[in-house]
Amino acid sequence: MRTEDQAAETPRDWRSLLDEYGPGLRLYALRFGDAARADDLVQEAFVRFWRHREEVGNVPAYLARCVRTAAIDRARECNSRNRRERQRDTRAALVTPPEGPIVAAERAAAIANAVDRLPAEQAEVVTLKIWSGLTLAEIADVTDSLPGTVASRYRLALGRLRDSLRPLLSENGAPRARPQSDRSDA
Amino acid sequence: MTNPHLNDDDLPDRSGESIEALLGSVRPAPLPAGLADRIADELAEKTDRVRSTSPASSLWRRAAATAAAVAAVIVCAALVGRLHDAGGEGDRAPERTLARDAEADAPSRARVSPPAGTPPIETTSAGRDVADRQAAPPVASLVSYRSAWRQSAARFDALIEADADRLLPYVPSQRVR
Repeated sequence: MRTEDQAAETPRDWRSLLDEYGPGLRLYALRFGDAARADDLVQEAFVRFWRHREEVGNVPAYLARCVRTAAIDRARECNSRNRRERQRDTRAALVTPPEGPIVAAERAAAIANAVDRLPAEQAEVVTLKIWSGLTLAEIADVTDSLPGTVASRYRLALGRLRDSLRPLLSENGAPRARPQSDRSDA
Repeated sequence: MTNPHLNDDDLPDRSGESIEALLGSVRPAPLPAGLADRIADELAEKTDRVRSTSPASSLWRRAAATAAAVAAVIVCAALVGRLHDAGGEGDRAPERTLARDAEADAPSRARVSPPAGTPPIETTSAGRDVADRQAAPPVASLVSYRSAWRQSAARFDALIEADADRLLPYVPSQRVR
């Protein structure tokens, strides 16, 4: 379990934690607003986490929940301009490794577009699962949803993404580029 | 509510692995420049605020505030008491101070012999003055003394002006206007 591993960890510098969880957290925060709003949400979540770090067991899940809670609190401020800005910023928030070819950048843009076209609940689950590394159970906890509901959303999202990203998949279903997933699920 | 038995491997559709791998082939962009500094500033500010509101410093602040409040109450009580004394004396201060002055001047008055033919000065009611002196506190406060002195001096000057000719030989020259 990741929680037990983290409990056994020695105290870490907040910058190393920010480097590890910040990018995924910001990508998730972009689900709720434009880049400036996402930065604010990340900052608020991280400061809150750091003040309560002694009580936090699961760091990425706690951070994601903080972002979600803060975003819901500010939901009234959202408008159509935020949505347009958010879509543009989300596309810029997914990148391929720096050494990747130009084709990889196009792949990142295509993936970001495909995720953006998903229903919000499905996009949220995919973002937390793939780029924040949370398990489905943790996502259910973060989003206050039933685990079965989360699993269903994820399965539906993968089906939609498979259809929309079929040109990027090889004939046998494997991706054309080698995946570079940072974390493996429990 | 989390389900500890829920495992990602329980997903009914295992064909999602390829699309998961494709999604995992990209990663989130690094944080924008300046965000880490913003968070650092925020953390420093919060830390200072937490320090300033720590239980120890809060205890010291409370103790200091309590001590200040107690000191203020003591000072106010003392002032009220002195003002009360001054008010009590203020009603009688002119007469008493006049009597004191008269008593203080008595030796010098005794030493100064009036000119021949001058009628003796009728002093104020000495009995009342003695009674007031006994009722007064042993040590008059500075505030009450000054106010009483001012009133008595004004009254004394008025008396002198009213009867300057008769009192002229008994008072110092600088007090005659």
